[in-house]
Amino acid sequence: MALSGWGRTPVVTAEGDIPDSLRETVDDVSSPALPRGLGRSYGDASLPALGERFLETTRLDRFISFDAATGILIAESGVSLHAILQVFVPRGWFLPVTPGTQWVTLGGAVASNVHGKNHHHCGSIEHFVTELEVATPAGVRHCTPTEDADLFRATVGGYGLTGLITRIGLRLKRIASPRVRTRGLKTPNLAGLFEGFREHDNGYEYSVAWVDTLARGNSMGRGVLLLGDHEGQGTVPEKAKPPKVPGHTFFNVPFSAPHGILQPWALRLFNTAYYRIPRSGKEHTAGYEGFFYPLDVIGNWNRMYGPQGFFQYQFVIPDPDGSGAGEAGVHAGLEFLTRHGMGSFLAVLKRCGDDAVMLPFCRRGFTLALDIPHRGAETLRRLDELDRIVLEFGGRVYLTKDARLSRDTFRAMYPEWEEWMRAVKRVNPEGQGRSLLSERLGLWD
Amino acid sequence: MGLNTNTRVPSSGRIAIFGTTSGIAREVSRAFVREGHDLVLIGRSAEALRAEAADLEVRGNRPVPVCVWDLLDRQHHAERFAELVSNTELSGVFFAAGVLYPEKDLENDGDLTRHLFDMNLTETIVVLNLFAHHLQRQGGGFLSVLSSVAGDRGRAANKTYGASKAGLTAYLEGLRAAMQGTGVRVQTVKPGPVRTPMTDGYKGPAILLAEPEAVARDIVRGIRSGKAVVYTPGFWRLVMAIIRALPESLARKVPG
Repeated sequence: MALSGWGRTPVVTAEGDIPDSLRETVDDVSSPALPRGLGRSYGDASLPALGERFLETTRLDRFISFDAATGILIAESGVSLHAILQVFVPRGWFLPVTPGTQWVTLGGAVASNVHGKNHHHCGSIEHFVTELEVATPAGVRHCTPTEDADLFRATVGGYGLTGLITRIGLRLKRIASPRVRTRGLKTPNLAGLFEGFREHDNGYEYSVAWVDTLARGNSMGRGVLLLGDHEGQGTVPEKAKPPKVPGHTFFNVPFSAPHGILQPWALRLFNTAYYRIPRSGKEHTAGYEGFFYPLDVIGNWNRMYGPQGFFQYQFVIPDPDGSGAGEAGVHAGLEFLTRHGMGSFLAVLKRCGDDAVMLPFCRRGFTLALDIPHRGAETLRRLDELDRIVLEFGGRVYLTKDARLSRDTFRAMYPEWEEWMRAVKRVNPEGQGRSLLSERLGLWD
Repeated sequence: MGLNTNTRVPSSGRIAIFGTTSGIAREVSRAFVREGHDLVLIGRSAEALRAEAADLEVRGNRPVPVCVWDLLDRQHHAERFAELVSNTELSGVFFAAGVLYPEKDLENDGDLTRHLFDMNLTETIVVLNLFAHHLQRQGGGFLSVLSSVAGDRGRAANKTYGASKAGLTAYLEGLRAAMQGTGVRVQTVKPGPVRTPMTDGYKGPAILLAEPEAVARDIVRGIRSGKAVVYTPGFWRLVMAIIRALPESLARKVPG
């Protein structure tokens, strides 16, 4: 069958299985395949390399236990974040860290070490994973941040290369309300956005900025800083009214738009309109879905980019000592993108801290993520140039979004890769269940 | 037994799920739990039942007992049934034990064919009779049973499976008539192809392959409204009405 990531490029043909019980899965570790969840990573992280099979985890979606005293949930890896929210939000619990869609599996979230709008306070999901059981080619292993810590740190953010995660412990967090107090601040340019982050984001658990990537000159990097907190934080009402958990799509893109409907003029219209929405800067409350998952209401929105698909390019520029290097790097990247008219429907800027896994993406600094329609060889060439800018500032590109980084650039961006792959090879010495990403980046060499 | 005014599902007692580990039954169980119902899970493998029960216990935040009962263990049906009802009050049953094999395997294998009829028809009827009479004695409840659109018309691609489901559909229609006025509501559920392990070899158009979550929603809604026959997704009611109305010479030409 034809398989692709959320960016719909590249597309591969591969066969695989969708087991419906762990028993049959674990019995079969002698012929490991590449684990794959809901296929929401953008590039080729979830695609099997040529000749490899995939193992889809969407039917390994059982909760195993929940301890209300500690908030620790144990579940199979195919449970979706949506399922967790559906069950636990009405009971006053929330995901400790969530990416911008709830349609990912917990296993995928761990394998990508996802980060969210609260990274500047509490880091990526790694800090809330209490235990993992991994069916590696060398056998089923149990690991925690302290027990077999190397396997733990190689598997979280390990892109499925250590084997199939069969069991995950995740510490949920208490919330007093399913609603979020939020505030939107319009900023006239990139400098204003950075200032907004510095001034406000320590006071809010969640912060993220939307950036108009098409505005040029003095307005370059204008945007909207969105801040938020769970409503009534710190107080848990005795009897919270069970909230409605919609979780369904409002509109579904039924098929791929022939040439993509997100043409440059449409992007300009959208970005300008979005910026012009009046924002009082005052706090109001909103449902958590609108705040955390604004795009989930449009089913298959990736089809709007047409049959050629798109790249999501997310990079981080470190700023370890707060000297402004991160800001300069983001400025340079954004300046390059606007100069070449590589605007995006959605560009997202966020302050982050350091990840601790073996192959960390987030570094203390700033990260910018944007969608770039695939318009052929020129797009690829421009992105290579952008890689060089990111590298110049000591930055790196997020592999969960990536489909085209070269082997050498990757190695320069991620000097930790050799240590990580040594840990991977300890449990997967023959490189079984290889992903296309792992071969493209030459991880097994 | 008290009936909640806005639902046909009795508010007390447990709903028995027979064939818990099938893709549709899993989602139906989850939908029931979401609505606050208590369940008891019935199936062949203790280990598989325990995994489903643990999942449902987390989802519903209340205990879910299990009952190991093999549909093919015909000597023990009465015993298993007595055990079940001696310590559980039932408000209804969702029955989803059934098998599907490729037609070409069935054609060349008499044992497989007999196995399919034992599962989908013979033992199913034996066990459904036990439940129907029990619900009748206690004065009410529902019996919702998974049949298939494949039982509505004989087709080359699944003539044996279709025959077993046609038999089941006919039995359920008769049981519904027999239970008239007893408070026992009998429901026939006819799904089209659903994305479950049973249909992993499905070669038809992807658009006809329904998601188990959507099918479960239809089934639970159907039970709540007391519908006699639930087609899911709903468009199959119209499609099968047309296909059933076609003369055989034309029906033969319908692809699929």
